[in-house]
Amino acid sequence: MKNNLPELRAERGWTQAQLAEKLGVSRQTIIAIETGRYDPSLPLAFSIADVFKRPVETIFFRDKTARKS
Amino acid sequence: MEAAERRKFLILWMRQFGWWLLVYLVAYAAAMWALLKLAPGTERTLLVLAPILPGLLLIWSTLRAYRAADEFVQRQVLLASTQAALFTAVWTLIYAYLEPLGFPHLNVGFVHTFGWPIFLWRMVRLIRLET
Repeated sequence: MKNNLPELRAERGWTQAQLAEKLGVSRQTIIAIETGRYDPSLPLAFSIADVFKRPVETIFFRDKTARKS
Repeated sequence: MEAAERRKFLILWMRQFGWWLLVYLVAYAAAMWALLKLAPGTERTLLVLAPILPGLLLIWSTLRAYRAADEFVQRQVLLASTQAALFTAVWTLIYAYLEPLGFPHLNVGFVHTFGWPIFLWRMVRLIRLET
């Protein structure tokens, strides 16, 4: 799964630590999501969508190059 | 990791585990000393059993920190635990075949030293954001 979290965060001028604080997660989690190493759970994905006030599907989208499991 | 963040992390770590770990290590050293140096008796028994309480408190504080961690950190801790357990199991099995070949007979207490480096390495990677 891909996401445009770094772009959205940069638009608002938030640091990873600030976003992590808003979401109540660690900075490690934000870094892992941004680098595509971790796909968040649905509750966390919806929380991220709430923080950015955008629909979840405009933040997270399928990586078409990734192999189907 | 920035210096301020590192300091904040260290303070949190000390609050969560550090003090109990320190107490445990002191109690463990006292227990080892008593085991080797003291004659059998009440004093020796009490000192040998001393690490049990801080050990249990260390486990309790670890579980409390695990529950308080977010989903990604919990996942990394589970991965690290699984890898450490697998490594320990495989190494223990291998050593069972090495002993008859002349390798020294080790106390079962050595078993936990096999997995810990793996677990700690994974945790250090997580802290250093090399996830």
